[in-house]
Amino acid sequence: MSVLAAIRPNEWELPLFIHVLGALALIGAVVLATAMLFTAWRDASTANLRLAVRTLTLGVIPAWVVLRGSAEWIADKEGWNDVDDPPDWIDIGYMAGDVGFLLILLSTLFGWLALRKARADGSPSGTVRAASILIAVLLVLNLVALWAMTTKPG
Amino acid sequence: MTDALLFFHLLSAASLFAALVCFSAVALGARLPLGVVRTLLPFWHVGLVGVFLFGLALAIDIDDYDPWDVWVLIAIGLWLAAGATGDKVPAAYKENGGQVPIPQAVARTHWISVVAVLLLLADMVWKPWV
Repeated sequence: MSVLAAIRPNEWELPLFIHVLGALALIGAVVLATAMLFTAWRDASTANLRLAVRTLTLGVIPAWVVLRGSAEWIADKEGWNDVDDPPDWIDIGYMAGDVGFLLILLSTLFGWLALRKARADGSPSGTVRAASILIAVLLVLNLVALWAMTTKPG
Repeated sequence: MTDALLFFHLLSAASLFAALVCFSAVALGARLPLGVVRTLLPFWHVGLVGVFLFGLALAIDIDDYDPWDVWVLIAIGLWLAAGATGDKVPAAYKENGGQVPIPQAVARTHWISVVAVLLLLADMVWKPWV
């Protein structure tokens, strides 16, 4: 790891910076979205649910786009796209990214459905529970990806 | 050993970012529940201590780096700036009784901490004068 860091070519640094920034911003936004969704689940508040959905659409989704786009950029720079059998940490990263996006979309959809119902009759539907659980799973998945990216198993 | 230190260093950075995203939302005018802001305040403190301790341990552990390298000293300066400015939003928000907007001066101080954290991350990646 230390040798790799010492000899890392200069042209890898910008994509790496954007990738790490995207990953940290994603985890930060996911933590806030998780806290807001669980709060909305607990107190059945429309205002908190609206903030949770805004965190998902204005924070989590853009951060995921930055993370995933820069992952592709740095994988290309480092030559991983040309490798037939990439190491496990690359596979874990892609899996966390792609499954993670599905979880983000479902969580946003369930959050939005709950918000729509809350606007109609004053109380969020049960889909807020599904959104909360999915976003909590995403948080765990992101922490696994962070572990894989730093310890590089395989 | 190095990999474990790097993992905990980045986990601490993630904790720092979780708090930073929350405080930035408040600085931008989002009316978050006071309980959520209170819950995320320890993330800031734990993250701040963690990035420093694990970062210093990494600088000692990796043969190519020393704690007195210029990029490490820059990082410590930026860490001090972030630490001095980063927890003003939750304090002001609590004082406001969970109402927005928070005072302009506090919001400005918060954006200084955001810039310090971003520069810290850039310093970690580019490592000037190595």
